[in-house]
Amino acid sequence: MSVGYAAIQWSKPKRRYDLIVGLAIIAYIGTFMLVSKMLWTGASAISDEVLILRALGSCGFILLHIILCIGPLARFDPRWLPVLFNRRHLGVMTFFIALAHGVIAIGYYHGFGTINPLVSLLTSNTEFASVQAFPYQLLGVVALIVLFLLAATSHDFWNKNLSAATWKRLHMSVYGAYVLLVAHVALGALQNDRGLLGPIATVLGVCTVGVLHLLAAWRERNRDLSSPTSSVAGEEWIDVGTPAEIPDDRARTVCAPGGERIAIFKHNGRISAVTNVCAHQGGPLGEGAIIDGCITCPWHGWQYKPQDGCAPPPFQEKVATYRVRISAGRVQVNARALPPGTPTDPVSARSEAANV
Amino acid sequence: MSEHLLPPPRDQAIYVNYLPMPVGIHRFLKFAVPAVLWIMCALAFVWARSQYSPGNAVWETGKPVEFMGVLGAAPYPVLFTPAKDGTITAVLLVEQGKFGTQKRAAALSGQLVRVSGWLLHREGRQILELEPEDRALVRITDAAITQAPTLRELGSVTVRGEIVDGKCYLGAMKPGAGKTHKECATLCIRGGIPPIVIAFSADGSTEYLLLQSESGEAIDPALHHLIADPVEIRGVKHQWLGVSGLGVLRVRAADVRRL
Amino acid sequence: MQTLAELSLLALLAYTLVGVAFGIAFVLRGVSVIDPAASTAGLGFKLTILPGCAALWPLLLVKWLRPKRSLRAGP
Repeated sequence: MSVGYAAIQWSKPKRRYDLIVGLAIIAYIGTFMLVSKMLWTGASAISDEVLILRALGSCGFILLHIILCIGPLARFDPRWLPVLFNRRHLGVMTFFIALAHGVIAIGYYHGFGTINPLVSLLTSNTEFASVQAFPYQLLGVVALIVLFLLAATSHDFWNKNLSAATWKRLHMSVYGAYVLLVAHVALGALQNDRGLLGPIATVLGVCTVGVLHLLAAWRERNRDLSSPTSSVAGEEWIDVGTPAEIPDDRARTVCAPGGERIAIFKHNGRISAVTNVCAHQGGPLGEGAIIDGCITCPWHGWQYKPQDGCAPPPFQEKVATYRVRISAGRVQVNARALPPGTPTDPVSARSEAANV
Repeated sequence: MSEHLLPPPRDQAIYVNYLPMPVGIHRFLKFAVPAVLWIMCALAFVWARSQYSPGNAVWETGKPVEFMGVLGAAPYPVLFTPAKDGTITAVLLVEQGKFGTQKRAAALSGQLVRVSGWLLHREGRQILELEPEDRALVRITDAAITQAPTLRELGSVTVRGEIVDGKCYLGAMKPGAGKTHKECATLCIRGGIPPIVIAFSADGSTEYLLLQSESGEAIDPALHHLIADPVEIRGVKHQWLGVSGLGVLRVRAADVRRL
Repeated sequence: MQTLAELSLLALLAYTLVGVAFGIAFVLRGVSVIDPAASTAGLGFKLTILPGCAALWPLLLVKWLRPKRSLRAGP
C-alpha cells in the first residue's frame, strides 16, 4: 500500500528478514569455502576462483528453489507466510549472487585472452547440437538477464506502473529462468561431476518444486470444478453454504463459472464479497482475514474495506466487489463482478437465518 | 455440496508484517530460522566434500626461475634443457594470460637461450610462463646442450582422452579440464597456448601428447570445437629423442571424433 | 560468427547507453509525470528504479509521452 515511494520500505520485520537471509548466505558460502580449503590443500588445492564460482552458483540455485517453493508452501500452511511477505528481497539477493557468479565466471574463463571476454562468451562454444558439449554458459547468461529484469522491476513503483497484470506476467518468467538454470547446471557443472550427489540433489530440487506446484494446482482445480450455481432471470448466483459455515472475520472462496475466484467474508455478522485477487500482487485475499475492520491480504497485508473493496484512506487501491444475498438459509454470491470500489450492502447473516 | 468449496483457512491467525506476530507463527519461526541456518551449513559441507581433486598441479607464483637450453619455436615454443639425470626435459613456454609466446620465440628458433619466468608443473610435465620483460628470453652462447633433439616418428596410434590447454591443466586453473573449462581451454588454444592430449590408457596411466597438425604446424582451427570433450584421436605419434614425459601427436582434424 | 557477436554486443551497448541516459532524465523529470506519487520520492527511490528504467526505456518513453497527448486532446 503506497502513497509515496521510498527506495526500500524498510520495516523492522523486513530488516530482520534480510538479516536472516544474509546470515544464511554467509553461513553457506563461508562453510563451503572453509571446508573446501581444509580438504584440498597444497598441490591438489582447488583454485579460489573455482571455489567461489561453485559457492555462489550453488547458493543462488538453492535460494531460487526456496523462492519457488514458498508460494505453494504458504498455500498449504500459513506459517510460511512470514517467508513469503518479503520474497522480493530474497529475489533481489539471489540476483546479486547470480550476478557475482556470472561476472567472476566471465572474467575467469573468458578474460586474459586474445578477444573481448563477452565476444569469447558468445563465440567460443557454438555446439548447440551436442548434449555433451552444449554451450551451457549461454543458458546461464539468458537466465541472468531474466533475473536482472525481475530484480530491477521488483519495486512497487513497477507493480503499479506496468499494471499489476503485466507485472505478474513479467515475474512469472522466473519459471523460465529456473528451467534455463536447471539446464545450465545439468549441462555444465553436473557433466564435470564424478559423483552422484550433484545429479541426485538437482533431481530432488526439481521434483520438490514441481510436486509442490502440481499439488497446489491440483488442489485449486479440484475446488474449481464445481461450485453449484443457479441461474435466476439471467443472473447467475453461486452457492457459498450456510452463513455459519463462513468463519467470523474469515472467508470462504468460490469459483465463478468464468474461472475468477470470489472471497466471501463475514465480519460483525454481515457478509460481503470481493474478488480473491489482491490489487497488489494478486495474493489470495480469501486466505486472509479481517483485521481492524478491513480485509487483509495474507501476502503483504494490503487492506480493503469489505463493503466497497476500497483501501482505507490515504491509500487508493480498489478491488472488485460482488453482490451477496441469502436465499433459503444459504449464502449466494452473484457471479458478475462489480467495478472495483463499488459499494455493496453486506447482508446480515443473523437476520436472514431467522427467516428460514 | 459444501465439500466442493474451498474450506475456510486454518483456524490460525495470519501473519501481517506490520502487526505483532501471532504466537503460533512465532513459535514456528523460533524453530525454523535456526534450522534453515543449520541446513544451509550442512548443504555447504556436503557439497564441498563431494568435490573431486583437481590433480596435483602447481603454479609456482613466487620468485621467477631460470632455464637454459635450446629453443624449438614452432608451432608451440618449447625449451629443451638437460635434466640432472642426463635426460632432456621439454619445458613448454607461454606468455602471461591466455597467450602463446610464438612471436617472441620465432626470432630465436634453434638457438641457445636463457629463459626466466614462473613454472607450472604436473606429474613432471613443465610449462614456463615467461616474464613479460625482454630479458626473460635471451640468446646465450654456451649451454649444456647445443642442439634440439630430433623428433622421431613412432607410427600411427589411436588414443582416447581430452584435449586440454597446457597452461591451465598444468596448474594455472584447478581444475583446468572438463566441461566447465571448455570455453577457457578454447580461448587459450586459440591464443597460442600448446594443446595437449591427455590420453588415458586402460591400465589407468595417462600420457601427455603435444598436439600438432599432420604437417607439424599449429592444430587445424576445425579442431577447436572438440577441445575439452571426451574424444578419440587417430594420429601419428612422435617422440623427441632423449625426452621423456611429453610426446607429440600429429593429427588431421577429420581423425578426431567426440565420444 | 565473431562479427555477428561483436555487432550484437555493440547493439546491446548502444541500447544500454541510451537507456542509462534516458533513465537519468526519466527519474529526474518523467517519473512524476507518469506517477504523481513519485514526485515526492527521494534520491534512493530514483536510484532504485534507475536500472529498470534503463532496461525498459522504450516502454517508459511511450508512457511518458502519452499523458501529454491526452492532455492536448482533452477538453
